[in-house]
Amino acid sequence: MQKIAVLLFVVAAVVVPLTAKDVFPSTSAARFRDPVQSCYQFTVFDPNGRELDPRWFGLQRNFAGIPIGEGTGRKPTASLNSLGIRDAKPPIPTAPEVKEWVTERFASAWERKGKQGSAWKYVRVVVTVYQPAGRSIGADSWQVVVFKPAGEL
Amino acid sequence: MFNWFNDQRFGVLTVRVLLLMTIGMSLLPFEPSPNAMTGGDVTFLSRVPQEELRDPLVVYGFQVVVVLASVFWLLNWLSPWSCWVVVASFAGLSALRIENSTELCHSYWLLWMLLVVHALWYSFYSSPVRSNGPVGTNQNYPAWVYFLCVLVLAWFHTLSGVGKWMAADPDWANGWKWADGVSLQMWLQMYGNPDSRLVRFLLQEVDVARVVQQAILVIELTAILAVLTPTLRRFVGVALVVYYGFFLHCFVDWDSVLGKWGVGAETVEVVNGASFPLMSYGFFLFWVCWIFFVSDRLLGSWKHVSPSQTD
Repeated sequence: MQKIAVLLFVVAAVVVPLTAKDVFPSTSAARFRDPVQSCYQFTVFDPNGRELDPRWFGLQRNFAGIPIGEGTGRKPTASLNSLGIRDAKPPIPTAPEVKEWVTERFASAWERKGKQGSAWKYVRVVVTVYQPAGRSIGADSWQVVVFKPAGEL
Repeated sequence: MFNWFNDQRFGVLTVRVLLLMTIGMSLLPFEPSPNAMTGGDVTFLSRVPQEELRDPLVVYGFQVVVVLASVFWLLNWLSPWSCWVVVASFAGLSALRIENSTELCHSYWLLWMLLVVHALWYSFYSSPVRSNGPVGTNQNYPAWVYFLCVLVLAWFHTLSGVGKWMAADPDWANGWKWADGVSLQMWLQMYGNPDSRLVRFLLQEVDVARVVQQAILVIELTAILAVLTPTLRRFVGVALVVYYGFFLHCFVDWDSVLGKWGVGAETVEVVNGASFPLMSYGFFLFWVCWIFFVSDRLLGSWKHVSPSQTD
């Protein structure tokens, strides 16, 4: 009986993860599985140069090494940073896309901040792209200024 | 003085540590996620109506059952039934967390697998384990229980390596492409501890990063060799300690963590820092050390026959 139990456990422990992947209680142990060749991040500043939480604008990085959505029941909070989503296109948003995205979330970001102090007239979004540059990693930055939408706040 | 490497109660001690971790993890705060579902099956509960998965009463119910059954197991009451109640309820609670989570945590999986192994042990040896005499302690920690623990830990790492190999080349021909150095540099750029000299050095030298990444892949792929002999087990164990030491050094912003705990000068939100793997890596490192470096004389024999005559 013991030998049968051990044998069944061994077969299940080895075979199930190969077939069921990330359906708990199975796992494919996928952290850092997909080799990333470039990445980018958003940094948001108010008119006074103070850094704001990118999550208020849906610009946070959701990717933490495991492909997004694999083995978890919920999607992360929507973000323009699509790193970690397989087949996400385009990989790096363009300036108009950033502007449109932030404009849509300008009012809600102000609410999430708690509406403390004076409302932002604009926010500055710095997009930093990291790519291989010789033996090291090179950073290329550009920024988008997004003004407060008319009639809001 | 207590010397656990020479203690005759290694198996029982392992169960106690497992159960204390189970209780601790089951009591972690739980908040139903308002986010949209990913779709598809991610746990054995995925087909259950979503209202049930988000009901706090269901979660509290699972938590109470896990804690009570764990206490029963700790006290050797109603074993092996209490053992399997722990296994089932912890699986349910972990599945509920995963269903409401946006990021996977492998610690639930490891803990659950080790619980299953030890529940099997109690199923075949519950009577002698329950007694307090020498017969009921380590002499009844059979080799197959230990073997399964090593297998669980080793296969997890090999699976991780296989996944990386196949992600780089689905045809299996050249998975070494995964270890190109660039991806390690990218991860270090995103999550690396900015105060680490090693991180800064690897960010500047892609060739060294490539060698490190190749070593990571080799360690993962060969981890399964630990099941073959005690010497290989220790060799793999040392490699995995170095492996986790590297990750904990490079990817945990210790200043932020200590700051969060009020130890350091600055307090930075850990979520925004580079501390995401702390729990998972620390947890796995602990179990690698606990399982892989135990003295052979503490382990039972394959020839051991269950005194309970279950077999």
